[in-house]
Amino acid sequence: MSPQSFAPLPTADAPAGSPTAALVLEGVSRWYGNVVAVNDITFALGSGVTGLLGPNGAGKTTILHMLAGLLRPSAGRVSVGGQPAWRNPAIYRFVGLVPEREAVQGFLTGRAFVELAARLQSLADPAAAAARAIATVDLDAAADRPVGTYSKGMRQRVKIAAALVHEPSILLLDEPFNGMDPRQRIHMIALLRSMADAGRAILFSSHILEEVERLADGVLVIHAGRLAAAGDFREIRRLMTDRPHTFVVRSSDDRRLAAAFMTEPAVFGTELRDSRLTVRVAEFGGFTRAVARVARDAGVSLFEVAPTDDSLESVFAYLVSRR
Amino acid sequence: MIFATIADVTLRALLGRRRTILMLLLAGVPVLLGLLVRANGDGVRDVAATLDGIVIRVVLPLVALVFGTAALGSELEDGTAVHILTKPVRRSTIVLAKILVAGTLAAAMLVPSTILAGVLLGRPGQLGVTFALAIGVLVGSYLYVAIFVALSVATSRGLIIGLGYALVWEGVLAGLLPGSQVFSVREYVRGIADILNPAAADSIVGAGAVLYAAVALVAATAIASVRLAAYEIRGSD
Amino acid sequence: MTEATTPAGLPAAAAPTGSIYDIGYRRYEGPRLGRGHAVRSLFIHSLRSAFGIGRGGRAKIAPIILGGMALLPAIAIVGAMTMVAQFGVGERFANQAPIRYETYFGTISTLIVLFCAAQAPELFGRDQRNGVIALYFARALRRSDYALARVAGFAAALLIIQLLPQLLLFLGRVLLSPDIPGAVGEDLPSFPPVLAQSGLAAGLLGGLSMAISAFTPRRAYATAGIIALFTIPNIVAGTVLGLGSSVIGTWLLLLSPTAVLDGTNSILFGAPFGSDFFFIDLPDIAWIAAAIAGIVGAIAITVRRFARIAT
Repeated sequence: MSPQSFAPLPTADAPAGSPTAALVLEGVSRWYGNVVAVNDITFALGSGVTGLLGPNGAGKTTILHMLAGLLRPSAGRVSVGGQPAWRNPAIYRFVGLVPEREAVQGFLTGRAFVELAARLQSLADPAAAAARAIATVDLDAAADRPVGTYSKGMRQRVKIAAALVHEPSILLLDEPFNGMDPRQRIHMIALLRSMADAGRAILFSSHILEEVERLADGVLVIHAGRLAAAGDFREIRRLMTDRPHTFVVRSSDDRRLAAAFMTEPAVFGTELRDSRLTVRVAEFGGFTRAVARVARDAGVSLFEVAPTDDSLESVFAYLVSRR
Repeated sequence: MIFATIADVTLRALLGRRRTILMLLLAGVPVLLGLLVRANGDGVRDVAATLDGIVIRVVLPLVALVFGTAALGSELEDGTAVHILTKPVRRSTIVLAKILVAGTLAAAMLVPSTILAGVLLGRPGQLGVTFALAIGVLVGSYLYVAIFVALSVATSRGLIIGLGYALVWEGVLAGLLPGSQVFSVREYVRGIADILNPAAADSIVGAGAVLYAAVALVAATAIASVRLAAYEIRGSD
Repeated sequence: MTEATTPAGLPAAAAPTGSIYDIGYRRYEGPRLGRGHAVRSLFIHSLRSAFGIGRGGRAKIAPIILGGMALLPAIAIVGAMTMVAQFGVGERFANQAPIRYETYFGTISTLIVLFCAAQAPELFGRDQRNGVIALYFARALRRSDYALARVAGFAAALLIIQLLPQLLLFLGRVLLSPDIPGAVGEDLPSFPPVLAQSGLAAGLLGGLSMAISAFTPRRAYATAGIIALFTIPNIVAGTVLGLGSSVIGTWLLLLSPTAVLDGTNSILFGAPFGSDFFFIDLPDIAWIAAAIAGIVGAIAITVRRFARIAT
C-alpha cells in the first residue's frame, strides 16, 4: 500500500521517509501470540488534525501506544518527528500523549501533577508553564484538589494539561472526549483546532463519527486492525455511499424489468439467473429514485427490492480493494 | 533536579497511610521481641543469632519486598507509570531514584529497629555486635530493594519470584548447599557484619562481602534500567 | 425505519413511522438454579483456581511445584520401603521410617505455608482488582455465601494437598505388607487423626491466609502478610521460650498457627511434640481450642469484611 497523506496539509506529497512527515507508520503490524491487533498499516501524517476512527477493539489504542514508544511493533517501522519511536525517550520533548485508561496517582493535586510533568520535561519555569496549561484546559478552579476527587472529564483535562505543558509539536490523544460534557467538548475541539492551525500534528482516536467529523481534517478508518480507509472525511463518506451496489429484485416480469433497467444510466448491469434478477448499480441514490418509476413505466409490479451487500465487511472489502 | 523530582513523588507515593503503618508494625517486631525478652529476664545469650533470625531472615526481606515492589512495580501494574515513562528522562535515572528512596525508607525503619532490639535483647557489652549487624541491615536494605525493583520490572510475577528467592533460595537451598550462599544477599549482609565484628556473624563470604554486595547492587540497577527501557505497556485494545 | 411501499412500487406519503423489529430476543423461561447451585459453583471454581486450573499455564507453576513437593516425601518413603522389603525387613522399617502419618505434617508444613502464600492472594485478589465483586453480589449469592464458598474451596485444596500423600503412604504400606487385611486393620486407627489434623490445618492455615488476602487487592501485600503471620510469631515465641519457660512465651506460641498445629498433631497422634518446645505444659485442650478459635475467627473476619465492602 502506498502511504497516504492529506490535503490541505503542507506535507501532502511527502514520501514516507521524509523528515517533515511528523507521524509515520510503515508496514506496521503488532500481534500478541495468535491475535493480530494491528495488521500491516502504513500512513504518514503532517500538521493538522487527523482522526483515528474505528470500533472498540479495532487497534486504535495499540497504534497510539506504538507511536508513543510504549509498544514495540512486531513488524514494520514507527517514526515520530523523523526519529524511531521505540526506545527513544528523546522524542518526548516534542510529543505529548494523553492516554485513555491510565490513571493519575490519586493523591497528587491537579496542579502538582501538571507541575510534575513540567519538571520532568526540564522546563525553565515549571510552575508558570503548569499554570498556563491548567488555564488552557479551564481547570483553575479545581487545580488544588487531589486528582482522586475529580470527575472523569476533569481527569481527562488534567491529563491533557500535562501533555500540553511542554508545548509539544505532536499530540496523541486516545479517546479524549470520553466523559466530557458538551460544553467541555466544544472547548476542547476549539483548543485542538487552534493548535492544529498553528502547525502542530494532532492524532486523536474515537469511535464516534460526529466527533471526528467536527474536528478532523483527515481520517484514518481502522477496522479489525486494518486500515480500511484514509483521507478526507467527506470523500470517504461519499465513497462509502457511492460504491457500486447490488440489488436483488422480485417482480411480476423480471425479464421485461431487466430490459427497462438497462436504459437507466445509473444501472450498469443486470443478471437473470435461477429466476433471480440481480441489478448492479453505479450510483445508489439515482437508482433508488428511479426504480419505482421504471417499474411503473414498464408495467411491472415490484414485490421486493433488496440490497445484497450492505455489511461493513463488504464496504471494507470494497475500500481495501480500491487501493 | 529531575532525580529529586522523581524521588519526591516516589516518597509521597510510598508513604501512603496504610502501608506506612503496616511497615512500621512489621519493622517494630524486633523491638517487640526485645521488650518481651526484657520482661522475662536479662537478655538472650546470643544476640547475633537472634537478630539474624528475626531481622535478617524475615523482617528485612519483607519490608524491602513491600517498598521495593511498590516503588516501581505497582506503578507499572496499574498504569500510572506511563506518565513518567513518556518524559525525556533516562531510564537509569528513574530506577536509581526509586531504589534510593525505597531503600532509604526501608533502612530508616529497619536500622533503628535493629539497634533498639539489639540493645533490649543483649547483655551489656554486646553493643558492638548489634551495631555491626545494623550496618549490615543498612546495606541489605538497599540491596534487597534493588533486587526487588529489578524483579518487579522484569516480570509481572516479580513478587512471587522475589519471595521465592528470599524464602526458598536463601532459606532452604542456602542451608542445604553452602556453596550457593555466594549468590545470597543474606550472606552479603551477614558478611558485612562479620567484617565489622567477627562475633556478629560467621559468613563463608567473609571479606568478599563488600565486593559481592557492590556487584549485586550494580547488576540489579543495570538490569532494572535495561528492562525499563524496553518496557511495553500491557493490554491495549 | 422502513418505507411503506404500495404494490405499484411508489413510496407511501411521508407520515413519520417507526417500528421495533422482532429479532428473536426471548426471555429465559427455563429453570433458575438458585443459591445452592451458585454456592456450589463458586466453591468448585475456588478449588480449581487454587490449583491454577482454568487460568493458563503460568498460574499452574507454583501450585504444581509445591503440591508435587508435598508428595515427594511419601513417594520417597514408599520407594525406600519397596526396596527394603526386598530384603525382608520391611515391617520393622515401616514402623520406624522417618516419615509416617504423624510426622508428615511437620515435614510438609513449610510447603503448605508457601502454598497459602502463593495461592490465597489469587482467590480474593483477582476479584478485588478487577472490580467484579459487585457482579458476584448481584447474583443469587449472598455476601456471606461468597466469602464462605471461596474459603471453603481453598481449604478443600489444602485438604487435598495433605491427604493425597497420606493416602499414598497408606497404599504403600498396605500393599507392601505380606498380610494386607491385617495391615489395613493396623493402619485404620490412624485415619481419624490424619483426617482431623489435615482438616484443622486446612481450616486454620487456609482460613487465616484467606482472611489476609481478603483485605487487599495487591498480591504482594497479601503474600507478605501471610508469610509474616506464619513465621514471625513462631520466631518470637521461640526466642522468648529459649530463655526458659514463661507465661508470655506460652501465650505467644498459641498465636503462632504453625506451632498450634504442631500441638494438635501431637495430641491427635499421641506422639511427642514436633518442635523444640517439649517443656511446654499446656493442657491438651488449649491447643485444640486455639486451633478452633483461629479457624472461627478467621472465617468471621472474612465474612465481615465482605459484608461491609463497598462495591
